[in-house]
Order: sequence, then C-alpha cells, then structure tokens
Amino acid sequence: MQSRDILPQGVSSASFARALSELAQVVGADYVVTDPERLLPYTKSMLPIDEREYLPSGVVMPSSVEHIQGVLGICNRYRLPLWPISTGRNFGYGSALPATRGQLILDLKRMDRILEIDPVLCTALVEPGVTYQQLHDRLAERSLALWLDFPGTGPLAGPLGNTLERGGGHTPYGDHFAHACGMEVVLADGRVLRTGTGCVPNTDSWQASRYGYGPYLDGIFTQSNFAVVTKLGLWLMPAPAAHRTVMAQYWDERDLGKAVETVRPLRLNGTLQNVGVLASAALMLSSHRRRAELYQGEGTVPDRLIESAAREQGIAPWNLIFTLYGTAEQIAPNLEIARRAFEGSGAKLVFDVHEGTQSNELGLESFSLLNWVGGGGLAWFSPIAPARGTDAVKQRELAKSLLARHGMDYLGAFTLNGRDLHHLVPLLFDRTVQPQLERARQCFADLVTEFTDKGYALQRVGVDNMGKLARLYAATNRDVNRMLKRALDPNGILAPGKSGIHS
Amino acid sequence: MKRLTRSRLLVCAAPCVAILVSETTWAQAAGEWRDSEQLWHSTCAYCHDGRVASQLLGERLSTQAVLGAARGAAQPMPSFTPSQVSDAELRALTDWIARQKRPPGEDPRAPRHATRQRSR
Repeated sequence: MQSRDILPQGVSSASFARALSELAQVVGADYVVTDPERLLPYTKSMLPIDEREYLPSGVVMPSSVEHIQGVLGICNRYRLPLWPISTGRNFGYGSALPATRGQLILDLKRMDRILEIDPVLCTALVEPGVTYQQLHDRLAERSLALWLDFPGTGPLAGPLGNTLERGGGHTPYGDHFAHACGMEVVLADGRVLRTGTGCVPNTDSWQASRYGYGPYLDGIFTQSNFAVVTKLGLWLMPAPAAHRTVMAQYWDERDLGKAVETVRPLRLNGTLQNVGVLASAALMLSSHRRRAELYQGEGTVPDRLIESAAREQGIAPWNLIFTLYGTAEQIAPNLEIARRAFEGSGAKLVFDVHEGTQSNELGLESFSLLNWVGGGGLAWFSPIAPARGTDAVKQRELAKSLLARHGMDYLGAFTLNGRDLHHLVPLLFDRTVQPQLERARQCFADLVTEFTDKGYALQRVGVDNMGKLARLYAATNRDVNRMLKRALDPNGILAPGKSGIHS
Repeated sequence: MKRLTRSRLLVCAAPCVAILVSETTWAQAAGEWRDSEQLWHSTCAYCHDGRVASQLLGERLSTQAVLGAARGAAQPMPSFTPSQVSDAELRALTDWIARQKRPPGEDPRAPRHATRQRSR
C-alpha cells in the first residue's frame, strides 16, 4: 500500500488502508480511488481558497443503495468522514470539494437512473447522478410535453444535487425544493427512509403528494449532513401552449428600486408566473465583452465605461427579463397588464427576447461570466433581500461599495421570487494570480460580515465559509442542528462541516 | 458502453409504479456514453462550438491536451471526473473532433463570445 499524505482526521494510515480494502470489496476495486492524479478532477474549484486545505483522502463510487449501506457500515467502524456528491457541479460554492481536508468523497454519479416518468401527473423519480441533460433527452425521446427547470449550469448539473442545495431556475418551477416531492434517504446506520407518502407500503402517491402524515422531514435533508439522499421525486411543468419572453429595461441606473416595486405586485397577483431576473448592465455585458477590452487600469471598471459599452449592445443599466406562459388567449391580457405597469414606471419593453433558462432550452451561456476576468475564479455571494425597492437598493449599494474597496466589479442580479429576491453577486478573479485570489477571499469575508450585521441572511455559501456563516446565526439554530446531527449520525461520519454542522 | 435495458429498469423501478422508459435512452456517465458525438453535443459543444470558448471541431488536439483539460488543467473550464467520462472515451473524442469539418469562416481559436447577442 502506498504511503498517503492525506488521511481522514484521527485515522491512522494502517487503519485507512484496511478500510479502503474493505470498501473495495463492497463497490469493486476500480471504484475506490486514492491515486492523487485520478483525484485531481474532484479537487478543482473556482473558490478563492488553497485547495490543499480541502483535499479529499479518496473517492468511493457506489452504484446502489446496498453499496451505500455497506460503505456506511465500514465508515462507522473506522470513523471515516464521507462527503456525498451527486454530480459535483456546485460551481462557485466549492464544486465537489469537502468542507474539511481528508474526507472521503462519496461520488454517486454511477447511480444515474431515471426510475420513473409519469406523463399524467407530470412527475419523475431520479437518482443522484442523473443530469438535467439526461432527463431532457429522455423527455424528448419519449415526445413528452414536459418542461424542466434548471440552473445556468443545466447540462452538467443534476436535479437531485441542485434541489438539495436549494438551487433555482427561472420558469414558474424555479424554486426547486418547492417542486420536489418525496425523497429516499439512507441514514448513517444504513436504514432507508422514504419521506412523505413514500413510507406507506405500496403507495402510488409518493411523487404526487409532498407532506404525508406527521412531520414534514424533507427540509432537514437539504443543505445538511443528516443522511445520503438516493432518490428524489420531481414535479415537471406541463409544456405551455405558448410563451413570450419580455425584457423591461430601465435606462436610469437609479431606477432599481422602481423596478422592484413594479414587479413585486405582478408576481404576487400571478400576472407574472416565473422567477424572472433583474440583471445589472455589467452582468449582461459579460456575455459580449471581456473586462480587459474595456479597461486595464487600477480598481473597478468605471461605471461610464460599462454604461457606454452596454448601450452599444442594447443593454440598459437594469434589465428585467420575464416570460408569460399559457395559451395565446391567456398571455395577451397578462402582457397588457404587465406592459401598462412597466411602461407606467418608466421602463421600455423589448418583446420576444430569447432566454433559454426561462423556456426549457439547455445551455451553458452562463459560463461567459468566467470570461469577464478569465482565470477561472468565481465565488457566489448570494444574500436574500425582502422584495422591497429600498432593500434592493441598499444591498446593491453595500455590495458594490465593498467590491470596489477590493478593486472588484459588481455584476449583480436579482431573481424575482415574489416576496423575496435572491441577490446574486459573482466575485470574479483570476485564480492563477495570488493577489487577486487573496483580494477575493477578503472581499467575500467582508461581504458576509457586513450583510449579516445588517440582518440579511445568505441563501447558500461555499465550503470555505460554511462554518463562519453558521457562527453568525443564533446559537439555538446551531444547537438544534447539532442535536439532529447527533441523533441521526452519532459517529459524525456524514459530511462534517457541511453548512457548519458538526456532531 | 452500456445501454439501459428494459429488464434493468423493471428491476430497479419495481417498488414504484413504473411507467417504462424508452429502451433507446443512453445514460451519461463514464462508460455509458453512446459515442463521441453524443458526448460532444451533450457536453462540450455548449461552450466549444465557439459560443463561450474556442471552436474545437476539426482541431488536431493531442490526447494529452484533451485529457489534461478535462481532468482539470484548463482554466476556466470545469473538470470532469473519472465517473463522468472515462479516459478511453476522452481518447475517442479527441479522434472524433479531429475528423470533423471545421465550421466555415471561423477562426478556431476565437470565441464568438465577443460579438454574440445574448438576447434576440
């Protein structure tokens, strides 16, 4: 057995070698990887971190629930920490990297079966390794008129992992957890739990009804480390007869608050059904231009340069993109209501723009964002704002000024959920330039501190800030999470440090 | 490479009310890609058709370069794990890319990114 630099915390080299040998007997020797070269793809992240602090001790790849039960038994005996990943595409939050060094990655990619698609109730049941691309292809092959909702990384990412991270997309089904129905989870002791109505023997309503009887447990298995989720039910959107995507442009930079005040009532009264997006000029511009083409000086790109380059592309300071769905008869009156509201607030409308994430078209255009600076650095700062114009303006000013303090550009956007907005702020930097990486790291830390000081919560955070964020929340929240952890995973083998939760 | 079979799915879906899926569907994991063309169109082409990154079709890339980039050496390209695509599949992909015709009038090294319209 080769000598190993990276071991799970508290586990001796000899003990780890014995555990690996037992794991190989469960999943097959080809599916236990510790060779540093083969581990490389698991260790690449976009975050401003030194990956050496997060390196896994190995990867184990089960192909069934029975394999996972066998792996858990061994990990409990040897106290090996296991970091489950589905497709490992948590870009800008750590990708596949564990929250602490030495964890064994439990790569569930081999479990990639689409177990069921019900075209009547419009549901699906999938395993962790299924990608949106795979599900999209299956629906197309069967000519089923069902739409998917996916994040900007759609073709590569998968519905199970994205839903567990409480990710989102841009159709009316954009809140992924709200459109998930039923989980199968393997507890740390190997027992299998099906949530919702899935606990009723021979049920046929597992993917139709979310709550079942008794406590609604699904939530505790998201953004957590209480079990390994092995199946997830999804609700799929019946393909609408028609749809029209519209862009409302506010040509005065100071109109951000007005845009939010205009869109909120339209979302709450149902005129606008989907999780549209309110994008800054710089974010839109990053699809067309690179930063260095506009500016090569010190500090952030001056606003006037962004504005003039954006204007050349028909991009306004604020661009609100939404889609109306239904029959032509349903769309027409809603479009008229929306037109009056937006034009009445000073926006100019552009009809029938193309936005694939709002209309079931997979793409990776979102990766253009990485070309703004180049060098592969991305950390998503994603605070939650109440859907009030004053809060959007306050968050935007706070984020922009903190970014500017560190010489970084603001390329923010708000997703339009209804009563809240997810403010998405990408920190873009060249990972190969150490001072840029350091700047991004410090900038992110300042953003977390300043936003939580002002009472703003974050909806998601990278592996490098999970502990810090948990410590900023109330002690009772941490205590309850720890009580759940100790009850469900007494040896603390599942993803220690995930969301700042340890046993 | 592996084709999902009816029998496999029947067994797997037995606890649920199984509505059978198409027999022609190919999974998308290491050893499960139908061929290089499927791998290209389902993954690489989203960026490397020139929209986000350089056009690669028709390029005579070295296997080493493709393996290196896919396994994590290229920035800002995401990495691909051995569970997502095998070394053999990446080698076959390299050959397939070289056999394709370069789309006419395109500089293979320049992404169309700079002039592309995001919305239309």
